[in-house]
Amino acid sequence: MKLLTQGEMRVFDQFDSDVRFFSRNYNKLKKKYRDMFIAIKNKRVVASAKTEKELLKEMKEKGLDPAVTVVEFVPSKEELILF
Amino acid sequence: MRKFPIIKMRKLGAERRVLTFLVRSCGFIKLRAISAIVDTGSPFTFISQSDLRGLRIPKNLPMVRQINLLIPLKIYSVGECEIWLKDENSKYVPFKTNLHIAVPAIQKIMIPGGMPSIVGTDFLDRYNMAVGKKYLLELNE
Repeated sequence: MKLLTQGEMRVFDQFDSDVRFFSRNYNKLKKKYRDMFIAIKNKRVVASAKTEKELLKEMKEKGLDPAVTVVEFVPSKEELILF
Repeated sequence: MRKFPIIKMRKLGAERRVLTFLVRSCGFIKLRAISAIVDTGSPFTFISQSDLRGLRIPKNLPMVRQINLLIPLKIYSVGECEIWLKDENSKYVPFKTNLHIAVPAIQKIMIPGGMPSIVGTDFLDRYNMAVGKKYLLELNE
């Protein structure tokens, strides 16, 4: 099995730390980006929009690759969904 | 016993145990980083359509079955893929898993933010893994 390249490792590490950033800062982000989709890169919110489609458009304009960028929805009200 | 850190994060109204992994090129999926909820109630490991973000699903992808998890979902098979996890010592570890794509079978989805990706029991059982509070544990036989 071919090992991960340095670039692939960087992508993974970046993504993982951005997911952790979202988790740690959830309450702060919830105040600022309620009911919005946000993109996080390098522990910063780099794009935000009301719909995912608009967010993807903004990401494209900013040259952000959605395949390796954290995209999350920040709900204003939390509805528990069980599955 | 190898340990893979999981992230506790708010998703769908509750604190979920989330695993991040990297999918290397597999079928129509090129390099893609995924955060998925570890769900021992799901028989499948799948990437949700919303996490594919703009990537078009090929029309010839075989549909495995339709299931009702939260909503009716059509489950398509991508085939056996190589996914990479990072263990507690920051070592990248490859695994093979039958990866699926979940597409809502209904037009209107009432899940804010869309359906999440899931790590299911197909993957957990194959590698004898258990979910702890902080780690996904690869148990010794």
